This record gives sequence, structure tokens and C-alpha cells, in this order.
Amino acid sequence: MSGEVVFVLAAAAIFGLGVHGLLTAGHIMRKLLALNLMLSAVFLLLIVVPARIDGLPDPVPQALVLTGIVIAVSTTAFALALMVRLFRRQGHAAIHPDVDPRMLGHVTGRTSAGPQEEHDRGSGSR
Amino acid sequence: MNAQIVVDIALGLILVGLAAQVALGRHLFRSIVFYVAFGLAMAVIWARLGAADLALADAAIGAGLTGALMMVAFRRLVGIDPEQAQAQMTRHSHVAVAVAALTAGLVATVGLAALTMARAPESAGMQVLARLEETGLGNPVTGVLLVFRGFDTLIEMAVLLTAFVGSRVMTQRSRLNVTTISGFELPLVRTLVAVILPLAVLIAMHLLWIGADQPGGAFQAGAVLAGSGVLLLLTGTLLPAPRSNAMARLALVAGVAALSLLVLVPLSQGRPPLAFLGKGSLLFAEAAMMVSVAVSLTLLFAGAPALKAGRQ
Amino acid sequence: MIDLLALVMLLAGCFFVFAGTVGMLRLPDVYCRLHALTKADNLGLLLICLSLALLAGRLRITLLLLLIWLLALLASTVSAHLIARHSRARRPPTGEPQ
Repeated sequence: MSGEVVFVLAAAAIFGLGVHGLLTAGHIMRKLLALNLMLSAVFLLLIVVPARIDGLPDPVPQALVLTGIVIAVSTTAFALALMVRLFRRQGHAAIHPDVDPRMLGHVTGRTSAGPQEEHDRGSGSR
Repeated sequence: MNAQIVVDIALGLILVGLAAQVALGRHLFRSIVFYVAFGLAMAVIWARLGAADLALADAAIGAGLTGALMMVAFRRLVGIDPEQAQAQMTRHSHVAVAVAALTAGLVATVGLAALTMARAPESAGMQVLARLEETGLGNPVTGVLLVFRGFDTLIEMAVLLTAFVGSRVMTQRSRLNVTTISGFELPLVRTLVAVILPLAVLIAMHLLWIGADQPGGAFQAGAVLAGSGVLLLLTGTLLPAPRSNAMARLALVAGVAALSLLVLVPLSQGRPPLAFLGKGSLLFAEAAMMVSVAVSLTLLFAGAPALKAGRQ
Repeated sequence: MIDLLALVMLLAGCFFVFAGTVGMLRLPDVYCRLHALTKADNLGLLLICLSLALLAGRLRITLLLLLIWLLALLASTVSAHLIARHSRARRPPTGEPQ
């Protein structure tokens, strides 16, 4: 087993985690985090899989990934601006068509019962 | 070799563990913090793989600026409605777990198959390295970005500009957000700014200058400058301004404009677009790209069309 | 001999960073955690930088490593101060575990 195999497996696991997060998360910011994880997994594959030249990664995929990193931060920033706007309009940050805001209150009530949840909530709710 | 594989496995486990915390953590803010840690672990892995350009870019952009943008967006949500901003809203579903596992299996299969396949004798990277001397550059990644695949970089700068304009359209009507941290007026914080700012500018110029021959370049330099822009915003040295001005607009379009010149000037001389114009032109384009990257990302963080001087 | 010294310092540095991390994860409140993080981690980083400087054996690299340590020290000082200040404004220290 070589280092490449380890990193391919890691990329696959991260991609799977990203897919899971994207499918189950209701909060848009969580979906964005999951998408960014998937992007990182793709970047890792792009660098690890091509043959190395003189012990260094192939420069062409390196340049592609560098471009990808900048594109990822641009699109994330745009998506975050969209999310803030949506939040202002509809009062919550979900885009599931089947999520009812009244039910969100219920879900929140249930999850905020944990002690850590209370601890991290911050000054806003108190 | 054995020690190497142990280190690789440890790095892979750390990365996957951090990704799991990001994807499955119960707290949104916690997930964001773990995402920053994930970006830094990613930078370490790039360094291990020998991709120093990517290590620099991922540490500055992937971890630093994406994390800062996420945190400031989260703070805006909390400012509007703290209860809903942190609502969990995650639904557990067996189908999602199955789909995720299948996808991961598929990616692993494709990746491992690609690793074991016979390699083509002549890859694009080898052609780049063979022709790199014609450009006078020593860093093949910079060569690909500016010479061999310059169109990609032009489009990339256009995407950055479009993302900025789109964000402005979305947040145009909302009032300017406060981005300063509590305690920004302390002398200690002023000292930090006074020490870090000149160093950051120096490091950015260094990265820009050596980018031609060594790891570094416009994106990394721009990200370092954007990071100091975020620091200046957090400490109230710079404040968001309500109206855009000519300087801000010029800085935002500088990257696209300079790369467009690289495309158009050879055309006017009857040569193919993006024909190589010499090393000076590349440095000019890189400087313009650095300014654009730095200003766009700082303004995206500020959520404002321009900046003005705050307290001195 | 120098290699051995560097190795010892590297391991000691790793120990301090590890102790700082354990402290951050296990200690009860913000102030204790800051205490563990700033002190143990900065010492650990200094030891690691020194051992790397010994291994490199070049003045330029030594100065760069020193600069890295000073920057990390500055950043951790200011951030620890701000976190503690913010935390005190929100919830004054009681002296008891929370």
C-alpha cells in the first residue's frame, strides 16, 4: 500500500461525507460546508491520481486545482450572500420545500435541550 | 518508506475525522470551526504531496478566507434571528447514508482503478515542463496559469468579479454590517495591526515576485492581502463604505482587464491570442490579479461596495 | 550530537503541544483552556522551531523560524486576551468549575 492509495481512500470517504451532509442538512450553510468538502475531495483526487513527474505532482492539475480553489471561494461567498437574503425574507435558512417553519421551531426546541447547546448559544438568545 | 506510510495514514485519518466533524457535527458554528481546521489539514497534505502552491493557497483561501466568510455570514444570521440561525434542521435518513456510502465506494473504485491503470507516456504536464523554458518562468504552475491555460485564468477572474457583483445585488438594500470585533479599540490590538500589516504586505509582494520561479503567485499574494484586509476590517481600521468609488471599481476589474490585454494585444499584432509577450507582461498581469483577488475577497467579507478609513 | 539534541527538543515540543491540546479539550472553562493553550503551545512551538533550526543549520532558516514563532506568539497573545476579555464581559469568572 502506498501513500497514493491512502489519499484516494481518504478522498472517497470525504466525498461520501459531503454527499451525506448535502442530502440530510436542512440549513443552507451546512449544505455549503458539505459542498466544500466534496470539492476538496475532488481536488485531492486530481492531484493524487495523475502520475508524478520527477517526484512532484503534475503542474497542469495543480493549476486547475488552484483555479478551483479561487472559484470555490467566489461561489461560496455568493451563495452565502444569497442565503443571508433568503434568511431575511423567509425567517429561516432551509430550502427544503417540505420543511414547515412551524416544524422547524419544534426541531429547534428538541435539539436545544442539550447542555452544550445551551452553552454555545451565546448572548443573542438570553 | 514505512515511516512515510504511517505519516500518510495519520494525515488521511485526521483529514477524514475533521471532515466527519464538519459534516455530522450538531452545531453549525462548531462545524465552521472544524472546516477551518480541515482546510489547514488539507494544506499540510498538499505540502506532503509536494504541491507547495496549493498548500499556500489552501491555507490562505480555503481555510482562512472561506472560514472568515462563513463566520461573518453566520454572525449576520444570528443578528437577524439567533434561534433560527442555529436551528438544527438535519434529518437522518437511511437512504442518504446508503447513497453516501455508495458514492464513496464509487469514488474509491474509480480512483484506485485510475491509479493502477497504465499511464500515457506523454502527459500534458511533461509537455508543459518541456516548453517551460520558452516562457522564462521557473514555476510550471505559474506557466500553466498564465501562458498555457491563460483563458482559464481569465474566466476565473471573471467568475470572481461576477460573484462579487452578484453578492452586491443580493445585499444592496440591506444596511451595512458591523464587522468589528469587541475590544478592537484596545492598544494591544493596535499593536498587532501595526506589526502584522507591514509584514503581510511584505509577504504578499514577496509571494508575487517569487511566483515566477518558486511556489507563490498572484492568488496566494492576493489571499494574504485579503487576509490583512479582513484583519483591518475586524479591528475597525477600515470600515465598510455605503457607496462604491472609482478606486474600488478599478481594483475589482483590474484582473479581468489585464488578462484581457494579454489576449488582445497579440491579436492586434497579428499573432494568435495569448501569444507570449515576455516576462514583464506576466508580472503586470499577476500584479493586477493580486489586487483584484485581494479587493474582491475583502469586500465580500465586508458585504460593502467600498471601504473607507476608520479610526487611526 | 546535534541531531540527538534536535530530536529531544522536537519530542519535548510535541509533548508540550499535545499537553496544550489535551488541556484545551479537558479543562472546565474558558480561562483554564486559554491558560493551557497559550502557555503550553507557545513553548511547544518554540521547541519545535529550535529543533528545526538546529537540523537546518542555516542562519536564514533560523531567522525565518524565529519570525514564525514571534508571529504566532503575537497572534496568540492578542487573541487570548480578546477571548478572555469577551468571556469576562459575558460571564465573570466564579472560580468554580461551570
